Amino acid sequence: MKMKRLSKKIIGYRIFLGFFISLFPALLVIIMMETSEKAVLILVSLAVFVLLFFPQVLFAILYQKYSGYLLTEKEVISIRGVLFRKKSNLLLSKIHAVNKKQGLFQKLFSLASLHIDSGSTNTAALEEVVIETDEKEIDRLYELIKTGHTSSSAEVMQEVEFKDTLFHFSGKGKFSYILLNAISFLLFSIILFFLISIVYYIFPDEGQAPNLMEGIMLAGYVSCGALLLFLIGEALAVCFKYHHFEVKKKAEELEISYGLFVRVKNTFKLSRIRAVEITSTFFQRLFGFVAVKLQVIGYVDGQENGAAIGVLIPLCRRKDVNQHLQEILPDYCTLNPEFKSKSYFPFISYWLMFTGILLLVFNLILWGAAIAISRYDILFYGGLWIDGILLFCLIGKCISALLEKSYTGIGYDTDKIVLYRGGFHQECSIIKLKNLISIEDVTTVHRKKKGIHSYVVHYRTNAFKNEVKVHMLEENLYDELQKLIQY
Amino acid sequence: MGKGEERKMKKLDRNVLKVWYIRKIILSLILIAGYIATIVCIQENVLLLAVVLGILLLILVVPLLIWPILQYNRYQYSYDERHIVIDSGVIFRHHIVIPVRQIQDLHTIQSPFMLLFKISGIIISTAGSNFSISAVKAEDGKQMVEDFENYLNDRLDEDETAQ
Repeated sequence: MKMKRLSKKIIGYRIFLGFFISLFPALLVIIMMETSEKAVLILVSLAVFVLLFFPQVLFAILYQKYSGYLLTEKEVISIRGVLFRKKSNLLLSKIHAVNKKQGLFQKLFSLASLHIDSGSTNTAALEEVVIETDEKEIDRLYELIKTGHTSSSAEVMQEVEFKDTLFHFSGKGKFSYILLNAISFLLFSIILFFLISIVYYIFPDEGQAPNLMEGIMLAGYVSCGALLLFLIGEALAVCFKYHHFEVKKKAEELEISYGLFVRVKNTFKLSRIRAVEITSTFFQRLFGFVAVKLQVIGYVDGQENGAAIGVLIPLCRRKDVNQHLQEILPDYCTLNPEFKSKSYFPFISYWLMFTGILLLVFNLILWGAAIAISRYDILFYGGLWIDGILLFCLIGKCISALLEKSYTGIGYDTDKIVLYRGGFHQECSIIKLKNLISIEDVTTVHRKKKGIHSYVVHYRTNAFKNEVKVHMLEENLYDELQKLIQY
Repeated sequence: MGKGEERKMKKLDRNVLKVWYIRKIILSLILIAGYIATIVCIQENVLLLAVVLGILLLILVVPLLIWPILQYNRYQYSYDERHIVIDSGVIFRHHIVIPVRQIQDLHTIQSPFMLLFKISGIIISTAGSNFSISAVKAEDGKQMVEDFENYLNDRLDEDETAQ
């Protein structure tokens, strides 16, 4: 069977992008170059533009000519690249996720791209097959592949419409999301304010006496400016990232769609979900909010494609989370933690020791530096800074440990295990028992005598982080947890 | 497999201590060379500087040199048809039981120093995480990998029969 060529609109699209990519450096040359000869300036920038633009035009034409795809009953094949050509074959039965993406500029040219992933661990950060062509063709391929890969035999399943939207990220939710992030950033702005004031006071401009008022005013302008910029940026980012965020479900598949400039539609089988994580930052928790994420095999946490591919619910009320999960993923509702953390002091004991050693080492380095360059004033300022920062971190750790002690726990039934952990940033992971690999026991000599153990749960996923740690629990819990693992 | 069940644990090959000590000694020598170079280059307050940096050096180098023997004493492993058990760690003591049926692939690694002393490390990859047995005799390592493969095939056959 003959490979299908990509749409010729690709050439126009890539030339369009190439034009702006080449224009920017050419304009930069005009701005940066210091010469009074206008003719020379124009010639040089034109030369830069042509040198950058021409290869992109050539590449666009060759890319369209030599790239293609083919969809058969059994597999999908794509060929891409000009200098480095890549041919990808992917059996339809191995496809675990099909995603359609359309950027703003692609929309102008009625183009879209289809990203097909097999769930291979080695290429978890990339999709195996990417086809970029006419939007209508992409829609046709999308429907064909979804229908084709959900059937176990040659029979084609009846097309079933997705149910009504199970979750929609409303404007109110987005506003709360922006506000909570802004409150977090406010803390940073306050620290920035004090930092600038103190630095301005300690290190005034040359020849001038230290002026606290001026320092405070400058610090005020900078930190307010930073907060305002953050607010505007965050508002725009959230609106673009979570534009029309919807979750739909059909039989054994989940569809999550979102995005304004790049519209993304992720479809994956429910069986590919390895774990569900309910997370909340300190400020989210203060106001009773959480976020829900998915660990899906084949996708790496933190991918840069708008909203992370595994975000199920960007933000919702804590009291509503089980209701949402009941509608979308009933197998992943939370359980109460039967086994809670036993003791507080172990959460900070090693931190105290570690901070003490760090304090000693840093102060010795300071002394060494002060003696070496004969500047003993740096002992005072440096000591104040370093010791102050370490003390601040230690106080933060003590508060975090208090929160962690009250929240940490494990609950399980015949089907799943639920792990609660975290201090300022809290996480609850729900993992099906069939996805458990092993449970690691971690303790120290002293903790073992008190019957205090930490457990590291290793589970089946191909994210970079494949384990969940839960601290300071009962010793006899280990034998109970071992029974959950199939040997 | 609970902790209460008895099993015969094996220790790592003694040659691994030589490998670990060689690495730590090289690192210590670099730190000492840095210390001496600093003292030689700085002209003022040499004695005071030497004392301060000397204390810092002791804090860094002494643990480096005693750590390998502590690590070696704590490290034990064992395996059978269904389980691989690894006990390790000095301050934080780790105990893990890995089901043989979860093995995805096995790797044997040898650094130049390990080649010199005819030892190798085994890395056991599962669908979740990687686990390692730091150093065994090279022939024992080969045998171990073969054993794991045979046990894994038996587990997979068992699963097929059960289905």
